[in-house]
Amino acid sequence: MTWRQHRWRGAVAATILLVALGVARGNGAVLLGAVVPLLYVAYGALSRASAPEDLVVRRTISPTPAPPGRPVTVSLEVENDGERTLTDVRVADAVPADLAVTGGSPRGSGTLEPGDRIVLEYAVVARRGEYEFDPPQVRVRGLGAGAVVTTEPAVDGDSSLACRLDADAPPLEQIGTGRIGQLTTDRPGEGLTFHSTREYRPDDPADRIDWRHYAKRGSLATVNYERQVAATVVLVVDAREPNRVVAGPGRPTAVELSAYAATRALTDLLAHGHDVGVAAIGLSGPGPAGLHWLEPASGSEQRARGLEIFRDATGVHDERDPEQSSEWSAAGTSNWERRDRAERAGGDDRAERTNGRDRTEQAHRRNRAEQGHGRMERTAGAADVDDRRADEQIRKLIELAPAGAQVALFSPLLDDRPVEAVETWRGGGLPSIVLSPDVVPENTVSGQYAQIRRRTRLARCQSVGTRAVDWRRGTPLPLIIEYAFSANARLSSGRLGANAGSGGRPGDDESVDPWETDGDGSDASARVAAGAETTGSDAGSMPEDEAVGPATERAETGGED
Amino acid sequence: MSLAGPRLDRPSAIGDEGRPRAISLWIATLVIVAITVAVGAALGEPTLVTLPATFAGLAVAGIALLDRTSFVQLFVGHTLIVTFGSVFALLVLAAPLLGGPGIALAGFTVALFGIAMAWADVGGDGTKRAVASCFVTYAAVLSSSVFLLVVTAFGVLGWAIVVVVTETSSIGGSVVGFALVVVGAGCSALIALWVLPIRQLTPRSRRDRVESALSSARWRIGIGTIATFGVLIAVAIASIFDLLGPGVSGVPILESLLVGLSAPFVVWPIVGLSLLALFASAVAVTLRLLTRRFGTSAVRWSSAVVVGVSLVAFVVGMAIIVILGMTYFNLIGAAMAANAASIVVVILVAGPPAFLIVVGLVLVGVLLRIVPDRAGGPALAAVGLVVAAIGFGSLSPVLVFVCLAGAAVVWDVSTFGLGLTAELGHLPDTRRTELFHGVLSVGVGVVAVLVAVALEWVRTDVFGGVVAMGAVVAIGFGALILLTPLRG
Repeated sequence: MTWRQHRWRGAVAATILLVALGVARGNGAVLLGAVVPLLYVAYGALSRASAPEDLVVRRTISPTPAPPGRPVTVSLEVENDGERTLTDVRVADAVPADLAVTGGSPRGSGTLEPGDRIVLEYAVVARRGEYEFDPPQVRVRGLGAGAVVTTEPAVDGDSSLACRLDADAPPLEQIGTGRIGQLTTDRPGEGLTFHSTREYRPDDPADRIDWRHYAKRGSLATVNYERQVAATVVLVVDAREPNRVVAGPGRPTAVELSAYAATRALTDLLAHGHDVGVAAIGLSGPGPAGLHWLEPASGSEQRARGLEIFRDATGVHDERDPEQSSEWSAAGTSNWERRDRAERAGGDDRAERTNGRDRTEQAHRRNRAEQGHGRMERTAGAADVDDRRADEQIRKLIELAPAGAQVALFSPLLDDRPVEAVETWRGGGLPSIVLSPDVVPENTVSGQYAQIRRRTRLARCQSVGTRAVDWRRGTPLPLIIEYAFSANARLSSGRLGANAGSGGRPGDDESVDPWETDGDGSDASARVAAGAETTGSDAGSMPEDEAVGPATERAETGGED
Repeated sequence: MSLAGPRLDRPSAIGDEGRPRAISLWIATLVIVAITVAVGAALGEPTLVTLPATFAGLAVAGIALLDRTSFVQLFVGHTLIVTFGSVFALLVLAAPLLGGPGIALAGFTVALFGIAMAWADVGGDGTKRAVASCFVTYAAVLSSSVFLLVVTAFGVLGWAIVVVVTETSSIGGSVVGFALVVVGAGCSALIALWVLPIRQLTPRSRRDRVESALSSARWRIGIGTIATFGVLIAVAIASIFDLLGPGVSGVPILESLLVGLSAPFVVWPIVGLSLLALFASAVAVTLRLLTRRFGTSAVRWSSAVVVGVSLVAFVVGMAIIVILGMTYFNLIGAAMAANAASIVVVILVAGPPAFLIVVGLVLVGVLLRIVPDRAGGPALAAVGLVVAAIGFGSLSPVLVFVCLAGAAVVWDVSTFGLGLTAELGHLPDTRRTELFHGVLSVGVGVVAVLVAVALEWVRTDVFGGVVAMGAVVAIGFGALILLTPLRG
């Protein structure tokens, strides 16, 4: 597309003025002065520009696929492969409207001699969905900057960014051992790693008798080992509408981050052989009380079903309000819905997104949504219905969770409902942990106030005996999940052991692979974390006759050894 | 919509349009300064840059500061506008009265003002703010002057009344004077009781009692004042009809008592207490105003008012010092200060209206879209150089051509930089593109000047005395016809 840029209207006016003044005053110098702006007018008018045919454009997007919230680097290289110099080249990459540029600039300019290149490098924050990058716009001007040509050259290399919840979680088959029980508890039992010794009982197996003890003192003692237990964990994603907010334009919503963390936790726990259930509250699902509910189980099929629920949690809208649902689907919480709708409508998704008006509307909606104004003003009645439904789902989880299970809630803690949920679960005998993604920006006074309230909620969760983990932006999620679950396994081990035959699975102890009983790094860190966490009632409730540790043993022997 | 056309892509990626590119502005600034210095050197006036640049630069700094929100910054901004902005405007409006060089001086001043506006990123909104703020400041100067005059008049009148009262020797005059002083004191006390934060400063435990006592005091003082006023009227009437003298003359003690009511040792303490109450009330009101939490717009307007009042206070203080110095000490410095004060008064009285006219014209141009909003600074700079060229019309043809070429270069590179920023934002490195265009534009300017000088040589030397006025008109129309196919 070629068009002319009228930059010299002022010079035309100056020419006319000088001619008029020169003629009126009979001043030849002023009259001749009109030649100067006239030459500039000619300079602009004679400018010519043509579409460059020999531009080579390459784009790289790394990494893709990426999990939500991960910075993704996009590099665009424009090279002049022709023989003529392009004096004024301006490039703007077509960043998808739903992505925010957080570093660098997708635009650039330069004077390109043959073989020269312009390299743009910028970073975007991944949001769940698949985002197509349109070809960049290249604008070339002639010498006088009066003629302009805009073109969209074809791009080599990457053209889309995929963002998936399980992007950085490898398939279960690659990392899982398939065995049950890799969480080490504080309660001694059968295993491989030495824990303590206790008095011999007649029904103790012979291979656990401490023969050295017998040789020294003439009495039989039984060796206790650290027990490996399997846990039953229910991952609960707080997908209520108040949590569909973002920390900034183009960033993933709190529900997306919660679902991402839950996906990672699901993968890790299943890989270690635990039974994992999944629930999403705040939505209208097919399960009991409108929950999206998946019974605790293990295996790769369970992971697939769990991921499906997480996808629903991030993309599903309120079916009661069609207007709102269309608003949400376009508001950018998920691109998938929008793509699906376009495909269902028989339209080409690319065509839909390259429609300028549609893009503009979507951008407006997105902006409103992301600035906190985007949520449709719903009636108070609808909000009450949502609250009641969430309350019912929270209570229902106590019934649904099997005995001995623990609940892991993934919520940004933007209101008091999650805290009340944790209190309800604790009251119903369900141990719980809270992992809270931080989506509250602190660069405003109101943001700082909201952050203080959120941290107060974290403290309230801890005050009822729940482990609350704050997932601050920039902190690697694997570390957070490892820390949260290892510590929680320690906390809940007493309860697991107390519920013999349920979550503890006493029979599973025998299935421990003796070559892997030292565990991996997560087990080690679990033990480290347990040192700080076993001061609660769970540790205190441990039966004394079984908890004979090395120190106690030394006391009994009088320090002879 | 940007100056140079629509944005290159949708505005999702990076923020709003930034400042014009620094390289382009540097080129434009260097062109203006170089031309001004060269012209100043040619005319034997090296201060042609420094003086106007100081006034224009500080005036633009004042306009730019009006974009801030803090009181101190706004105060400084208003002060700069009313002082240096006034001088700048007077220079622009008054210099053309001196003829061609004066027009050129005004043009250079406008050009420097324009390029400073471009650096400070002052657009239509900034100009509008400057006009409104200058108007408010000027109104504050005028109103505070009037208020000061009124207060002074009341003070002089009160002083005269008190002096007359203390010097009276008749019974009627003494009673009336005393009653007048008491009425004034009663009014002062009522004002003080109304304004002073007595209740707020009282401990909460005693607040109810103090409040009832205050209410009672207000009621009593009010009644007493009204009654005294009634007595004043009655005594005045009785004095007019000479009814008071016969009744009192028979009782010497009463007569001396009534005459003694207007004695200085009676009147002055009452007057002193009244003045003290009024002063305390004024302090309380001032403190209350100063400690109030203002909104952004309130801070803006209050700073303008404070600047106006402060300037009046400054001028009054200067006037008092000058008068005292000349009266009692007969100092030469006082005479010089008197001259300075008179200049300051002229600037304060005539400067803000001149500033309103100059900047108001720019604003009207922006509103009528004659001056582009975001490119207002470069447009003013170019217009200033064109005006300077017209001023040099009868002095030096070369200066005319140089100024015109400078105007074209300034406009070209400035709008190019603005367009670049509008399309690409202010993050990308655009130095190479800007430099290339700037060098090209300067080159075209040099060629244009050479062509014009050559034509001028042809006109004056080759065809000197031959070319008639008709031929000049024909050349002019030819130039205009040339514009038709080019159309800018």
